[in-house]
Amino acid sequence: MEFLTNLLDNSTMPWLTALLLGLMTAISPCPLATNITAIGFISKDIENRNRVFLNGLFYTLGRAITYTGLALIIFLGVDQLKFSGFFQRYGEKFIGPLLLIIGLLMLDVIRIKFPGFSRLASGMQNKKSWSYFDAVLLGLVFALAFCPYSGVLYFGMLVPMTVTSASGLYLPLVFAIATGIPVIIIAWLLAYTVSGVGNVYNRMKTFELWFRRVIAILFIAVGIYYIIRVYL
Amino acid sequence: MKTYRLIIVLLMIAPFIGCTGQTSESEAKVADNNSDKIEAYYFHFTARCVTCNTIEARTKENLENLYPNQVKQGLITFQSINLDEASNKTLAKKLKVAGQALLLVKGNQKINITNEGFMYAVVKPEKFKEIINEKVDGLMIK
Repeated sequence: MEFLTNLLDNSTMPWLTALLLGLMTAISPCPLATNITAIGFISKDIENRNRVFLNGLFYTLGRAITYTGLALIIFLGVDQLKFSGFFQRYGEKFIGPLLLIIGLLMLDVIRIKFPGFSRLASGMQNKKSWSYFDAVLLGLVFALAFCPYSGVLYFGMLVPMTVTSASGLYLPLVFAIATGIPVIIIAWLLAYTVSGVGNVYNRMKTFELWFRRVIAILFIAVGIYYIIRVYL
Repeated sequence: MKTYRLIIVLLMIAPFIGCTGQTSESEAKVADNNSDKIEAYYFHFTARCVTCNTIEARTKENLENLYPNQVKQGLITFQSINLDEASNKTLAKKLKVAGQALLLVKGNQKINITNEGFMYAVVKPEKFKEIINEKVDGLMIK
């Protein structure tokens, strides 16, 4: 962290600053819980390493859409103070209940037909209905969950750099990629290690089902953690 | 007739005289209260993170260590303010704060060191101390 701060102090290039801010957001303890959930979600297709990697890329794309979209809205002239205040205040509040619901849907405990939700949590058995769209959606939502630290890094530092000119609008993209990189790397390493183990025992299918259950429980646990943190 | 006119004129002018008198008085009061006093505010929400708590603790600690006399005399104050509490809305509005913020206020002057706080309070506490020292010294001279 100190190393990144030093680099940031000496950075004169906007893209490098955006990259460093993104990395600092990703590895800070503050959004750690959402990152762990994201890693779990991305590596749900554990038998296919390439698929895990692609999931990670689509997850990052989702984050990029949110970060660029928010910056664009501010660039177009919305009251920055109130806008960022709203996200800093409510960013973390919706994520707990949402994770809990997704987790329960994944476990098939409850069944609701929401267009977005059911895609995110489509039953564990019918694997084919999983699509990359889930990962995009998850990235989009997780990027909205600003915790205090990432809120300041994004609204306090990245956005002012971005909105000064239209040419700065590529910076949120760099920021988003940097927030996604650690998640992609860990998910891929996990898939790489675990798929080897699975092949040895030749029990991949059972393992996969259980792995997905573990991820569903992970969603529920992290959801409860956020609910306790924010509401109690 | 003349007295009548005079009364009307006086009535018309009176509110203005009254107003100007009052404003200068209240302005003077505000100036009296704030001219020497430096107020540090840390605004936050109910749910907080490690960095946020560290910023609060370090700011308080640094002010006490750097300016022990002024803090004792109440010339430098530190307040931690929860934005989720309705009673703090007026202050937040007055200082134009909507999210987390670390502010140094003296009269009408306001210095925002939120970014510096989030950057340095945890990883480079010494640098954070220097920044506080420099900004508060700057406010004292003015």
